[in-house]
Amino acid sequence: MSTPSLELIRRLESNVARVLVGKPEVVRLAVIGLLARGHLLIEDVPGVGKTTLAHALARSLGATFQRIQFTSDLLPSDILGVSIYDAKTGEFAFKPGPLFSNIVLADEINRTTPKTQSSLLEAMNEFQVSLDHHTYPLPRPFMVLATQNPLEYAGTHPLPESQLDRFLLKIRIGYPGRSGEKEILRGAGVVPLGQLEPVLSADEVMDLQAATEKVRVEESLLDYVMGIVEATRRSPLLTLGVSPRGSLALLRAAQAHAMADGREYVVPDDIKQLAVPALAHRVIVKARLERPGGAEVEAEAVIDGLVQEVPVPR
Amino acid sequence: MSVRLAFQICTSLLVGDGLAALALAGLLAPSWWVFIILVVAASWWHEAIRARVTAVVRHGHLLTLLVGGFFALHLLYLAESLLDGFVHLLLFLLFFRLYTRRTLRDSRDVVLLSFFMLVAASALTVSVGFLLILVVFLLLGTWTLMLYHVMGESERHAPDRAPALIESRHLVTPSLLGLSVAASLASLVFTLLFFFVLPRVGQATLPLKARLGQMVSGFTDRVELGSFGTIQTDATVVMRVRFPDGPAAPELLVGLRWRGIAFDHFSGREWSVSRPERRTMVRVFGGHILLDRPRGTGPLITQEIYLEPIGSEVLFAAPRLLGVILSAGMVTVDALDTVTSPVPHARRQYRAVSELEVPTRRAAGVGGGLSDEERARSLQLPSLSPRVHALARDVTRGIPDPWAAALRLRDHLQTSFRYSLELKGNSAVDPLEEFLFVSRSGNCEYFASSLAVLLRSVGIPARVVNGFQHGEWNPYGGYFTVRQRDAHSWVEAYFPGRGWMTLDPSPRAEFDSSWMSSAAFQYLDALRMRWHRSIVNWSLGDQMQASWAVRQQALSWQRAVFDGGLSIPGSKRVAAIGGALAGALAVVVFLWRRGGAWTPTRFRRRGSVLVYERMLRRLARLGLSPGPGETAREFCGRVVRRLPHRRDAVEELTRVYEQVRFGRSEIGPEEVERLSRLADWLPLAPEGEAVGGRRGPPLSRLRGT
Repeated sequence: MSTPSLELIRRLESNVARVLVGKPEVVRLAVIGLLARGHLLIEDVPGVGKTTLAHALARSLGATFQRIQFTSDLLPSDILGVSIYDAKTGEFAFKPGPLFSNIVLADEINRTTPKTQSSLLEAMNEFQVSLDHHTYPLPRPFMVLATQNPLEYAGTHPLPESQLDRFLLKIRIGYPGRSGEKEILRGAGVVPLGQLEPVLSADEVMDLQAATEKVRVEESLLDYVMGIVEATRRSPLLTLGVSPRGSLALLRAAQAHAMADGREYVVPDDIKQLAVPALAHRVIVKARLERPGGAEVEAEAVIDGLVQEVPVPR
Repeated sequence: MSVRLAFQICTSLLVGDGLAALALAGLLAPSWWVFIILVVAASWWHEAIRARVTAVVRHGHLLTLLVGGFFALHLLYLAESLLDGFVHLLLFLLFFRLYTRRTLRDSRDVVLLSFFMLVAASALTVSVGFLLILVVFLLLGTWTLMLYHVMGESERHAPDRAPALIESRHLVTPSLLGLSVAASLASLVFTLLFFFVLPRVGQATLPLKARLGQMVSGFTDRVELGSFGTIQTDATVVMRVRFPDGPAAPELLVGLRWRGIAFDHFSGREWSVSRPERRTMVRVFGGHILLDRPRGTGPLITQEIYLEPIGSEVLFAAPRLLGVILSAGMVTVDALDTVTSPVPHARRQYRAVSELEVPTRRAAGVGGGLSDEERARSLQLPSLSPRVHALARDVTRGIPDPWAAALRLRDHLQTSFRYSLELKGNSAVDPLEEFLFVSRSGNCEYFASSLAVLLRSVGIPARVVNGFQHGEWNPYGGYFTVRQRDAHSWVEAYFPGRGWMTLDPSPRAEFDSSWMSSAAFQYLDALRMRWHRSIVNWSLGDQMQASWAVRQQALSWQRAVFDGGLSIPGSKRVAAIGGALAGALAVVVFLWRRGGAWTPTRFRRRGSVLVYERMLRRLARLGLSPGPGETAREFCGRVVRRLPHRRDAVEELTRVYEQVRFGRSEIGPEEVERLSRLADWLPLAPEGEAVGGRRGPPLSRLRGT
């Protein structure tokens, strides 16, 4: 791959890392989501930096950014926009909602009603909004960063599988390391979010996305992806295996991983490392294995176990 | 012994076996033996040789093209025959493959080429030594296939552990060897069983077919008038007759028929044999059983007869039968020259030599006369209606010569009576009388009985003969197909100076012309006949003939190519030779490309992968093998933790492997060399206990090369 591309990616990563201290692997996953034209679901306990990550990524790109705080009374029109009667022209004029931005932060997405959640479906999948017999294209690049809290379930509406399937990766941030957290406490070197400068233009992001699609995937690696996906479909531990959309997501994410690693070709490690973030949220673990609130953890463990079993191409 | 080593040994032995077959068949000049043996033996170290002679490897493809071109030219112009040319090309391909093999598939090609050498040799040798070579090939081949299977399956299903498995010394155990030998012997026994026994035992010995008891109803050892109505419509094939020694157009022979059994006693309703005693005739010189002497009155004709089981012991042949060759070694002959041999329920093949009758020829001293007893039996008549005698006298009135009188009677029956299969029974009168005076139509048995009776009435000794018409000529196989519907009866009459002569009174020819098999059926039947001849009854004579034919054909092709080449003027000739060369080269290139190691790009691409595999093999000896779900990087990390001193080498080999394997990068031969050395410097034992204290040079030194 060309050096400038790698340089751009490194610049983006280091910019985000200025705010999200001590979590380079999470920053890498967020960048992968961006390069692969995917959407991210960031799930973790409050206060670990979910919103900060989304915000930092958005600010690092010279792109429009909107944050939508999802609440139980939020309506689809609040995010998509509405048509308002214009008395002067005598016609209905469309007023785009906050979704019409390059980066959309859907904060606490599981707090809103399924109706509002599903209004995001078309936008996430087809990069457009259909309203009142009109279709409005969304600006490019377009990326949804959604966050949710896995612990507080009271008054929440868990995302349905169909919606989960539309997220390329599900990321867990986790607590920072001891030294990292001390650094945060110290406040030295941590840049306030507001001071973050954009390091990548929207056009550069689109170029990087186009380059990602060209990353070479050797034939046997397709078999490897299929091997993993089929293992989830056969596994007695899972009720629902990975869909073809899921296998495609894994491949795209692997290409982006290779790109972020400075390679023009995918290696088995790209696929293996991304299997959990790309697939775990797409499967349903058998009920007897579920612990209250621990289904997601179980899914990750199952996928991880399966991946270790699938033979790697040589 | 490791699986890889055992496989290599077996492959080499198979090559040796193939070369021995060529030597046995005379396809390898003794002066070349030493050279070829040396070249083949040296290929044992082909990897070492290839690694040392890098310059040759670099220009290998050019060199190979040149040599390939030479062999193509050799095939067309220099070789004694095309077969020799092919053998030389085969040897060239073998050498090439021996020295360029890298993968398991390449080694399989070597085995295949060895097999082709055996096939080439089999065309020219009938030596019993070839049997030994074949058995050795079968034993080694089974063993090689088993090893090939073990290696192939390991690579396919456990690619991570395959190098370790292939190098493991615990797999090739005496029990595996024993199993292989047992499998080879079992396949040998079964092959022999199927090849030699099954086609030859005949259907009767196998309790597989319920219809075996069925007899051909058109042929019996009795003739009973009025009892058969539909026999001749049965199209089942009874026998096939070919003429190995000519004549050129047997289908044009007039009056050809296959004589079976003769009857001399007529009861008024049925014919039978009056004296059932038989003489036994045994084999004399050359396997022949001599039955009669040639008289010089007609052409001699050899028939090769394939007789289906028809439930009769009678042997059929064109009259007059002089001798037979058959496996039984003996036959019995009765007073009426009916030849029989036991085993009526098996399919039989025999040869018969007959002297055909030529009615116009007479030979002095032939048929010196019948004994009184014979004459009496041949003139025996039951009490018949006076009308029959009167008819005979009327027809022959004024003809003193018995031969002319007999012909007159025959013609009378042929022209005044109608041939029919619809027999109208009227029990009030004798069946013969009804035929002669009431219905005036009947089948061949009525005609034959009538003629015999009429001849006897006028004092000419006569007998009825059962057999078959000549049948249908198969132009594809060059033989007669005789069916049940061809069953026929005719008459033999005795004339002084001529002996027993055939007289056929029935006007059957027009009737039979309606029977015609389709071309497709004839073609299929010819294939069936070829199967019997070439597989079931494949004799030494046939082998010699085939071998000779192959040589002749190869020579004639070569001559045709050579002469054709000379007769074509300049530019066209160059174009023809160029085209032929290009074609031959295309074949050679195709073969190489199949092996995958030929084009420089692929060679370079594969080089690093091979080096990585070599590294894996070395690490396997330290007990370090990648797990099934372990990626190259993960394995690299594990190795580095175990061998921290080798970090640079292992990481570089892994990185280049990934680049080449998944990134389609290309590396040059020098780079492959350097990486090979890098891999070879990996320890064979854990660090600190390196073999002979041999430790690798610093990486910087290697990088500089």
